[in-house]
Amino acid sequence: MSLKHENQFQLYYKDYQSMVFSLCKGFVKGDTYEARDLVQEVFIRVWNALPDFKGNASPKTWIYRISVNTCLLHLRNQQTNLIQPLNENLQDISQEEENTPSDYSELYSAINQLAEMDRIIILLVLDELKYDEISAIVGIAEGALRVRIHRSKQKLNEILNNYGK
Amino acid sequence: MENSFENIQKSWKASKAKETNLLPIDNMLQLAIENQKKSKKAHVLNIIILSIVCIVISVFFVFVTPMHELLSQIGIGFMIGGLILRIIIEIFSKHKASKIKYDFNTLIITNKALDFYSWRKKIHGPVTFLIVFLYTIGIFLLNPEFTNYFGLTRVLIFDMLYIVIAIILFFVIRTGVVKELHQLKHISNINTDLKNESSKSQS
Repeated sequence: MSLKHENQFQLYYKDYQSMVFSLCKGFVKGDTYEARDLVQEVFIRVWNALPDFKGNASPKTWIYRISVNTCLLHLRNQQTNLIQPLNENLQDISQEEENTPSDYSELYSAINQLAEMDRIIILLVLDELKYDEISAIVGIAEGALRVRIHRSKQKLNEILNNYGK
Repeated sequence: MENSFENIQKSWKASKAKETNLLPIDNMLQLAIENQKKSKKAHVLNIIILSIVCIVISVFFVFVTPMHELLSQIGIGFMIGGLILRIIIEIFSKHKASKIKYDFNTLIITNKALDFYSWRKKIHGPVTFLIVFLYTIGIFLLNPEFTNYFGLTRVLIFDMLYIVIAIILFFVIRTGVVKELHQLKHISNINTDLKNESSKSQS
């Protein structure tokens, strides 16, 4: 890999790490540790795929694709040996953070009640991706996607409305 | 409904503002580079180990202690043949796995992954068990000539040790196969879901 790829990777990591993290966190029910592992896994795949990235899609869509596929295939894959723990300082900080009660546990829990594919799609909608972008990421035609998103929105609303009843 | 969803979207945006503490850029780059090297090494390591075993067995039985009886020679043929078959499958499997690129859309990647795991299910499991079986038969075919040099007791001890190793190997392989079947089922579910959506939109 060349210096050009290293610079490109660093730029993508800087620009898209938060985007990837929030997608991963939403997918794993707000579990910060697992989301961090997933982010590492995603960017390992970004690095591996970088030489073949010709810019046919925008970097954002390209990274979303890798993130979505990593999330969907991650739970059964469990390639934990690929992942390095964060350094001790960061772990200390994150432990403090984990002990703070999350205001958004209801939201994460509700999203988690959707089927995996619906969960991923709704997370992309929440991130304000356009239908054609989501279609290019998951491979579902736009028409079918609209119907599916409508159903998922309804279901998510129902879950959240029934929360605590 | 849209209004409620807008509220959900607002909460979602607010939740995102809280995220921090990811790996620093340099560490992430280092991790990615190391991981790529490790992954490449792991890919060839298995093939190298199998090839070394194959070469050692060949050299041992051809040059160091040549076997004279036909039965023994057939046994050696089974052992080496099984290993060569295993190496070929391993190389082919790595080649097929390398075609699964994570930057394809989900429908394409699940199609490719499904194809890969279905192939593994069809070929890898039964063929791997066949290879272990061939190897075992090969070892036992060496017994008559081995008995002439080492005596029956030593050969029986050797056989028993081999059976223990073969049983352990069987369970290790089985665990891997079961894990891959779970993965196959999971990918298959996602793929079916996506294909159903595609077919609905076409009809």
